[in-house]
Amino acid sequence: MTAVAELELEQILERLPLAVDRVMGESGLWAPELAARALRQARGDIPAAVQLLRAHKQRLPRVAYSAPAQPAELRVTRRISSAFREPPGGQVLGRTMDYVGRLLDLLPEEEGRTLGGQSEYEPPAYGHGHGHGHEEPRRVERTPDNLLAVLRGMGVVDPVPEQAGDPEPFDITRKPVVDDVPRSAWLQLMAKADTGALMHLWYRFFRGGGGHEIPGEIRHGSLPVQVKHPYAEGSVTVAEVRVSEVQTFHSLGRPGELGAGYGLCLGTNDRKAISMAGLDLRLLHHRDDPEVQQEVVSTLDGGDFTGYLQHLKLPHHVEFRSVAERAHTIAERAAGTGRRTEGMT
Amino acid sequence: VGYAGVSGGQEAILAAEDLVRRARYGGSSAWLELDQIIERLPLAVDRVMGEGGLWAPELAARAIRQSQGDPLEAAQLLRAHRSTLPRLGYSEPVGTEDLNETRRIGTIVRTENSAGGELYPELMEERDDRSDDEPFDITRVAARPGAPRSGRLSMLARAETSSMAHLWYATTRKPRWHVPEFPVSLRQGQLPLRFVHPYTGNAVKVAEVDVTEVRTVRGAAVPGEDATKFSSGYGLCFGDNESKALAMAGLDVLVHRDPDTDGLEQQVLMHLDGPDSSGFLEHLKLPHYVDFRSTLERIQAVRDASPAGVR
Repeated sequence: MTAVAELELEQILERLPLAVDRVMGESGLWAPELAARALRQARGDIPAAVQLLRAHKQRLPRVAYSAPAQPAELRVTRRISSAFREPPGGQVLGRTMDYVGRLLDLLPEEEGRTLGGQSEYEPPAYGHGHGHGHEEPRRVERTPDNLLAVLRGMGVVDPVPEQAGDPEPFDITRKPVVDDVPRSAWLQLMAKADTGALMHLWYRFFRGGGGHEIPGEIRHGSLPVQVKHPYAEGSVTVAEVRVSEVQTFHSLGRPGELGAGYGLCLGTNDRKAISMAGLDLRLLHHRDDPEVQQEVVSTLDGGDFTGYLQHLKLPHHVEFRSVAERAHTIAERAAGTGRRTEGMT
Repeated sequence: VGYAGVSGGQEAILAAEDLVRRARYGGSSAWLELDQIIERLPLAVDRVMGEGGLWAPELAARAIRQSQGDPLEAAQLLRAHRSTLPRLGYSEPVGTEDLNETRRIGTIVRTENSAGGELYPELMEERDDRSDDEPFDITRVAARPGAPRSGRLSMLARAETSSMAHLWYATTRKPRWHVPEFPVSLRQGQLPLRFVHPYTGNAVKVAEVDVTEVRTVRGAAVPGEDATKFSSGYGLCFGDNESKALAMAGLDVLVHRDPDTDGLEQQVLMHLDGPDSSGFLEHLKLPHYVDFRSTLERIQAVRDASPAGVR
């Protein structure tokens, strides 16, 4: 039996990119190689990999703050709309498995290896046999107009009250989020939330009734990270990060109102961006409901709930003994006085 | 597929598939071998097998590779594949006393070989589900509120790990639920899968599956409950997935204690299946042109009907 080859970082980066993106998104650190390392070290356990990358992030110095990036700068590799057949700028499907049948590929390994061994893989030309000549591919619009702006122009979208004056965003890495949560804080929390938990909460709200929202725009692309040059004038692009961005619309309130929700997260993660936008929409709608806010603010962090679950495994001898003794005492007193004791916590 | 309606849609879809194939076979890194995934990323494989509801390490590794490392998508692929397999028969029930342990911890007593529950047997509430009925088969009928415990446990064993951990956490941290919960035992190991031989009639071991098992106890939380009794909860899932087994046992006992508060039983049965929630979410990406147009028209109509300045 031959030994199994070490898993190279490049293999993880190229072959399992969605796992890498998810780890980066949930840890809030754009660092593909480190995320791949974390995945390998955590033996494929995504929450554990996130924990490793977050711990690493804690040790890094905060060198500078980048300049705010505008969504208009997003150079799209994918841009679809479920709301409009032909949105301004067109639809670009990009690299997606949305339209591939959900069937497990049972291609023999030998053939896969052969295909994968070619340095430049050229997919076979797709003949779909309906015999028309192909038009020249249309030029792809890489920075299409923002659909929200179009809808705002039509005057059908509710204005977001908080946007007035473009306040400094809340920094969740510096300040704890307590109450009266600003939108910038809940958006950051959701961007770093566990994807499954976020989807679960979103799904629960949907199952609660009221119909579902419709994503006006789902985009993937790169955003430049710019910092002010310490010596020269102006700012320089020091990195590019890939993001998924969603703008979604739903009429939750009065029939004349169309609410808009926003989702943005690191990497390719449609599921997260869609859930986030849907929850943002609901948070805006339920602004006065602290319970909804609390749920979003305090339950979605993977590090939080995984950590709490894992701590259950630590010794609890003393705590259990005290709880058991209390139950004994209650039982004895109840027996002694012939009276059943009602529940105590 | 919905996009076929858009001009050039079919071509766009084929081009999108090509991009996926290029990403899959192109690039400069070596082909990702199944045994690399199985041996180096075993926790990902275990999670996908659990959520897919199929013990098949090689197929799970394939699904992970095909889904580019997305565990939800991989579980969906495995679930879809599973539904194409013939059901050859039913294996024999297996008791977890047959577990070939590779790991065992307890959190409530220090001494070896004591599950702790035995220390205070008089504190344990008798759960009325000891009768060994035929288990509820969720692969044939979906478990809905009111379903027997076996149905609920089967749903939980297949549930999406993060969703389940989130539901457990969001529930247990609420003040009314907040009482200590103690995993009495957490075990990992192999369980034999036995099958009655069609000719000899003897049970033969045909496979072994790895499982994680948790037994947990918690006391009274809700006012009016009997504060002298602990209830127990049970979690068992494929592979090495301690978060899942812990959350499962926790939810089992929470639902048992009070299925109605927060509609917990309903949430457990209806909200935790990965292909369910993820499938619904993914459908939002398909064309909703007509729905959206009607929404816009309704809004315009309402606005047109309102007197100017009044909304």
